[in-house]
This record gives sequence, structure tokens and C-alpha cells, in this order.
Amino acid sequence: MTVATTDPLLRVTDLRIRFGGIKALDGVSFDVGRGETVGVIGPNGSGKTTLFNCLSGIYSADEGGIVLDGAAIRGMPAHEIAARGISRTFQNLALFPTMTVLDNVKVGCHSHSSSSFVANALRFPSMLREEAEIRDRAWHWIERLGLEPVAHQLVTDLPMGTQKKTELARALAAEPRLLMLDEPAGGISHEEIDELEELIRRIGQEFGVTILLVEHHVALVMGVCARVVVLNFGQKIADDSPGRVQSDTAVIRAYLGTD
Amino acid sequence: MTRQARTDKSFPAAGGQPAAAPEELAILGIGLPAWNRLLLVAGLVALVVLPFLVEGFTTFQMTQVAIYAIAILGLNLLTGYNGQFSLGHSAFFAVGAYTAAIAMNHFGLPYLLTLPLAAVISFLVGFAFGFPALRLEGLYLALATFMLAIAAPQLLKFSLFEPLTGGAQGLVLMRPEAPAFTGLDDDQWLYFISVIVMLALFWLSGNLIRYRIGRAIMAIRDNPLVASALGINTPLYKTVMFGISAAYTGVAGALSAMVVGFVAPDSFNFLLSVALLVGVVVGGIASMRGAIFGGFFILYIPTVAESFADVFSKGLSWAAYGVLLLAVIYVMPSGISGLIDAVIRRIAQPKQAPRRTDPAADVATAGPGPSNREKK
Repeated sequence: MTVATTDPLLRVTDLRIRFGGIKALDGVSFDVGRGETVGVIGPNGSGKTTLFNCLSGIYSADEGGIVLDGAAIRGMPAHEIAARGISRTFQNLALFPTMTVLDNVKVGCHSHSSSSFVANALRFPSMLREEAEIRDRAWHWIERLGLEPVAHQLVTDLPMGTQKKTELARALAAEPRLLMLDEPAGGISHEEIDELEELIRRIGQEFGVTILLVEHHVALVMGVCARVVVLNFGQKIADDSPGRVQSDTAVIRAYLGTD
Repeated sequence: MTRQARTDKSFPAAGGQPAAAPEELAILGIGLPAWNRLLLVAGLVALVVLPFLVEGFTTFQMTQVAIYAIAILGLNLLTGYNGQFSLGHSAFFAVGAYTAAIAMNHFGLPYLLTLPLAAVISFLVGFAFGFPALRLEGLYLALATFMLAIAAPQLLKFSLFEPLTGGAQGLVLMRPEAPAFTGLDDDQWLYFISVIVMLALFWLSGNLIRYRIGRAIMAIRDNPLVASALGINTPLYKTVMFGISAAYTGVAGALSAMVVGFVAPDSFNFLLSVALLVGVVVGGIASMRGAIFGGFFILYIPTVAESFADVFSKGLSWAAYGVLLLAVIYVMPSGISGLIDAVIRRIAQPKQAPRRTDPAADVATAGPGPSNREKK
């Protein structure tokens, strides 16, 4: 895989964060090239989700650098990072339970729209035009993910796989430059995982979205990622092609344990 | 973008149109949207003719219902739609009432102009209070706002402010008089002012919760972390919502000052905050029309409770109120508004011939259809 490492979309350098005495991330560095799909794997508690939370601004890392497209974003509030083009899904479903599928996806369009409180309250024509655009864009992703039949249903009434797709549609509606997927295959069926694999590949290839994928489902990671970063106890222990990572002794030791 | 996407064949064919709404339901063969319009028109007609059919005192009470409905809607925007608790809305009510009273008494401002002034000042007070509220969630926010509620009456009595606020005596106002050309009496005039203000404020908040801003404030209520990860500036939205909520309640306070013709610190005590909260819950959390039911409830139920309690002992009116409240919450866990929705769901039927009974059929009929539909 030839990826231009000179100008990565995302550059993480020596990222550190600690919670009390625990070093959740202990000097993690890696790059994600434009258009690349990179997997992040590691045993439970290795810092994968913490890494995502730091990248999306939910946590503020103590030290280190996060540079997105040349701009340092570490310490920025989450909504500004989102506006700069990072969007994500969550390990445990994090949909808005009181809303329909369509409304959930519409929220994904938030940072690409701008109508104000006043424009909303007074129904300015500009706001209504923007609403129509939001609806089109949300519908576009609902179609892409085959969610039309359930678009007007409350998300809480839907099966896990459909909810996961809704979350993915919501993240895609933000038209991110970097899409972060946190265990998208968690809790869904085998057939759905195959579908998901196909989908992730298409998101990467057809829409040119750069993807960072945290996943336990090894076959999925191996199937869609050109490169895999392995974390263990908050440190990076490998960063290579899926094939090489699988035979890496440090990785095997981390997963199987040697004590 | 969208058109391109629809002709792109790389993805499974997708049918359906944006906002292909669920199948229309009907009662007595009339569709629900039509019922809504019908009831809206009937309600508006009732609002207009009501003050000509009832006595002055009832008109006065209806005016108060409208005023409470505005205040409850304000609190509902904050609590029901945005998920922020407040036990301090009596203070915002007081800010609005005193703004109107002081502006009329000391500065001779025409009474109608005191309404926007009360809105602006209450907004600013609410917005300012929204900042410390940002750091507080749930119970802590409840406590912080409780402080506001118990401090407000004392601050209004405080000797330093007495020249302005009239201290413990409060301020007596000239009640607005109906212009001669209307042919209305004063009660009717104030009723119409209050109802018009109420309708305008309902319209504004209906718009506010329906589109982009509404989705954002509800997203914050449902999951603030995810909302911010999707680009919503949660601190800003939460503080602005505090301001808007306070502005609504402040306008209600200003109207109340006019209608009652008198403001005094102890009318705006903590019990008013609780009453508004009761109005939100009983009417229906995150329900606009619920605010009107809530207004009726907090105006009439204490009286009902009193006559109820009279059967046993005059001193038990609050106990009777408590029993009534408990009964209402037990029977209608999602408020009066929720009960109405449940009843509608019960009696409404699909408008078309009832060919489907199986929920799976929904998916099948609404699923990817012939792609010629999308070309329209």
C-alpha cells in the first residue's frame, strides 16, 4: 500500500492521557493518510476508545499532538473538531432515543448548516431552504444504507443492526474527512457483518472518506484495513499491514498473555 | 448531490421519496392532520367567543390560564425539550413582573411596550444564569435554581432596592384599560392581549423545536456528549435555551403584573416554581399543548382540592391537592397530552382499507419500490 506519509490527514504524536494513576494512553503516535482505512485493535482496556475520545474532543489529552489536515486540534471543544470534519460512531449505541431515524440522521448535518435561533423561530425562508437541503442530504444517506422503510420510526423500536446503520448514516451525513467507527460490528449478526464490510469498503473507496476503525472482529479488520495499529496498555505495539500484524510476536503476546 | 446519488447504480436500488410519511390514520373517516386543523380552528373560535359568553371573573381566570401556559411553555422548553432542570422559574416570573411594574410606574412606559422589555431583561438574566448552570447537571442544577427561587423574594424586599421595588409592599399598578373603539371591558381586553401573546409565543416555540435548532436542543437532552461530537455547540445552546425559557416566563410575569394590577415579592415565592413544574409534568413533558392543560391544572386544581378537602377539614387542602396530583400522575404518566395521544392511537384507524395487520407488512409495502417513483 503506498500512502503518502509526508502529508497525512491525521497525525497523532506522543499522545498521553491519564486517569488517576492509570496511563490510558502512554505516548501513542501514528499517521493516517488521506483515503486510508486504518484499523485500531488491541485487548480490552488497551486505550482504543480513549484514543477515539481524545481525537473527537470528548476527552482532552494531557500531552501530545493531534493534527488534522495541518491544524492542531488537541484541546479544541468537541463541536469544533466535528466542524473540522471528524465524525464518529460509538461503541455502545448512542442514538437520540426520542427521535426517528430521519431526525437522527438530520442531526448529523448540524455542522454543515447554520440557521440561527431567530431564523428558526421566525421561519425565515433561508432557514426553510436549508431545511430542505438537510432533508435531502439526510435522505441521501438513508437511501444509501437502505433505511427508507424505517426512516419515520423511532430508533428505539428498531433492531440492533438497523440502529447501528442509523448511527453510521448519521456520522456520514456530517460528510466527514475522517470517519471513526468504534466497534461497528459489535452485537450484530454474521450476515450484517458481511454487509458492513462491503459498506465500509465502499465508504472508503467511493466517497474517499478516510476511516479509522476500532474493531474486535478480526476478519472485518483484516478485510477492510490496509494498515492496523495495535495498542496495548496505552502504548502502540505494532503498526503494519494486517498480515504482518497477525504474525507479530508482540501482538500475539498481548492477546494471549505470557505471564 | 442528491440527484447524482439517486442515479448512482453502485448501491442497491433505493426507492421512496424524502419524507414519505407513515400511513395516514383517521378517526371517523377524517384524517388526523385534518382533525388537527379542525380542532385548531375550533379552539381559536372558542378563544375568541369565550369572553363574551362567561362572566368577568371567569374571563379573568382564563387570562391567568393563558399566562400560566406561557410560563409553563417556557419551563418546558428548558426542561422538557432541552433536559435542564429548574426550580427557579418563579424568579424569572418575578423579573418579568417587576420589569413591567417598574417600567410603568417609574418610567411611564406604555404597558404593551413592557412586554418586549420584560422579555429582553428576563432573557439576559436567564442567559447569565445559564453560564453557572453549564457546570451543573440534574440534581445540582435543581439546587442551584432553587437558590434563585428562594433568594428572589428577599432581594425584592431588600432595602437598597426599595425605592424601585416598593419593598415588601410591592407596587400597585394602573390596570390597563380597554381602548374605547374595541367596545370591550377591561377584563376582556386583557384576556385578548394575553391570548394573542400566548399564541404568538406558541407559534415561535413551535417553529423553534421543529427544525435545526429544535433537533439540536433535543439531541443535547438525549445525549449531550454525542450532540457535541456531532458539532453542536452544547454550552451555547444550553445558555441560550436558559435565556429563552426565562424570557417566556418573564413575559408571563409581565402580563400577570398588568392583569393583577399589583406586584409583591411574596407572590413569586418558591411555590410558584413548583406549580410551574407541576404544570409541565401534568400537561405533558416536551408537549406544547400540554402547557395549556398545565395552566388549567395549576389554576383550578388548588380550588378543586379545597372544596374536596372541605368535606373533611378546611386545613387539608394541600393534602387533597397532593392526592389529586398523585392520582393524575398515576393515571397519566405522560401527562394530559400523553393521555390524549394514547386515546387517539386507540381509536384511530388507517385511512385506507385495513388490509394490513401484520407489522412486517409495513416494511414490505414501504420498502424499496419501483424506482420510477423517485423521478418525480
